Amino acid sequence: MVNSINHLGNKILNNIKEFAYASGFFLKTIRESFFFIRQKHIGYKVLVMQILFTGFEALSIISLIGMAIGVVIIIQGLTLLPQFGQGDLIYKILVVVITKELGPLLTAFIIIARSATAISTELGNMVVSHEIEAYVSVGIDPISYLVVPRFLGVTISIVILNLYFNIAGLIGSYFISQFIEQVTFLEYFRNLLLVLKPYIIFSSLFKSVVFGMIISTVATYQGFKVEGSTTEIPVVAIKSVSQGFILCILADAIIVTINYLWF
Amino acid sequence: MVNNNTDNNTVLELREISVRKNNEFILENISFKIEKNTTTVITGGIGSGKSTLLKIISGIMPADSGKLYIEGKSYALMSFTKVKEFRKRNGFVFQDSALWSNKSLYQNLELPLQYHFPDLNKEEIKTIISRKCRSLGIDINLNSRPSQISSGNRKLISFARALITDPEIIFIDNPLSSLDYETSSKIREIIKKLKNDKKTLIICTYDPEITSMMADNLILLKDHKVYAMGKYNTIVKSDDADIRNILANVIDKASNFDDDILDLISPDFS
Repeated sequence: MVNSINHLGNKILNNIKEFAYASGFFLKTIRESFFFIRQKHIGYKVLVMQILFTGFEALSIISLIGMAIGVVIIIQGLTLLPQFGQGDLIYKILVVVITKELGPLLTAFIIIARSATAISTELGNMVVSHEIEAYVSVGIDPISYLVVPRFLGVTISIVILNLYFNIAGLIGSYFISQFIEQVTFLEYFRNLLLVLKPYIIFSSLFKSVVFGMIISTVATYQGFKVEGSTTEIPVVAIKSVSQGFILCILADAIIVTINYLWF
Repeated sequence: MVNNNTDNNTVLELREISVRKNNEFILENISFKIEKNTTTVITGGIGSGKSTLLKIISGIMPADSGKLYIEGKSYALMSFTKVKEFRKRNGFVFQDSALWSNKSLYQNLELPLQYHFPDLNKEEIKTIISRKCRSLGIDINLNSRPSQISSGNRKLISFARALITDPEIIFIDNPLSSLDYETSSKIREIIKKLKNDKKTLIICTYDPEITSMMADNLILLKDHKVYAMGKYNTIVKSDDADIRNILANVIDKASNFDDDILDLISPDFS
């Protein structure tokens, strides 16, 4: 009994310590990000490479998924809603589902699967081969050189990809809608713009910024948690995926709740 | 080297440094000073904590307790600018080279220069890199990645990276581990030249030749503690059987200390 209480106590204490450490890591990343933007930094090349990998290389998959989701929503909406006499709601549903909810969330999930695992694995390998210590030995702060460009790169990329997801989703749904119900391109987008309020776009992009910050912080933090063995690397990669998913969904729930209560 | 008085010559100082892992000591209560322009060799058995100690003296790894002083100032309290200045003045050669694998060899040498000398243009950086490679006898394609070259060449590039900013203090971890004869000779020559140039060298090694030819001071680690430290000449002449055993076991396992270790590690004293 006493042992169990001790064990539980230690576990809680370790979790508190880890949370405090992770919070310190996040705050330092935020602080270094401001310095990074203000100064001519040697990490700009790393930032460009990260945007290229996370943003540019994921464009095709994001466009494809966005279009496919648009197709699914328009088919389901156009077949189901008229049965209740609510056919006009299709545009509102498209905007709410694609722009407000699925755009930021699905983009985040794709980035978690593609980039978070890659970041954790890369940094974990660098810890094992003492490359991080080598950066410290020449005076380069690993947070400002390795974490900040990934933090900014993932966050910038995810916002851009969210926009692409939206464009692909809304265009995809237009093309499919032509097979079910003939609507002119202008009419389709006029109807969409009527329901696409600025606050919805802002909410979508805000979510992407938050998800980008969460994904990159978790991935880099997990990568640095490797202590010295290559067997730890797949473990941290899995953790960066599971924690990324959980934290993004929790953040989404919090943002939606605040949005509901305040607006 | 080993005294309790602070003087202007002291460049690095450890005070009561301890490091634990899983509640076991990796290093226990270690204190010593390193003087400017001297060569200090740290030696000890496998797993005695030499590499950890070197990383702590260089400031790239924090200790669990104790303090590191750089020219009398606490490293923990130094500003970012001071730490950067210190890093510019020192170089670290890792046991496994630790080259940045996602960069070319050229980029490995270029990055410290870009960081510490942001005003240098590309041509100037190229000149410094080619001059450094020439002086170290490196004649390989610098566009290669670290994984594409031999371990010997990786070690030489690791020396070039550590020396590219022309540092005053150089930390060298097991410079000859897993190297062929030719590269070992080259590296001994590089270290010899650094000593002749009056650099402050702190070397972890088992190599009898580096120890005997270059060590001004010797630190012997045993059971994660400093067992003996002082002037090299004093330590190797010690009558203490344990010290003689450590030297025999560590510096050359194959030799018989009682018969020939003094000849082997210090021909001048026999």
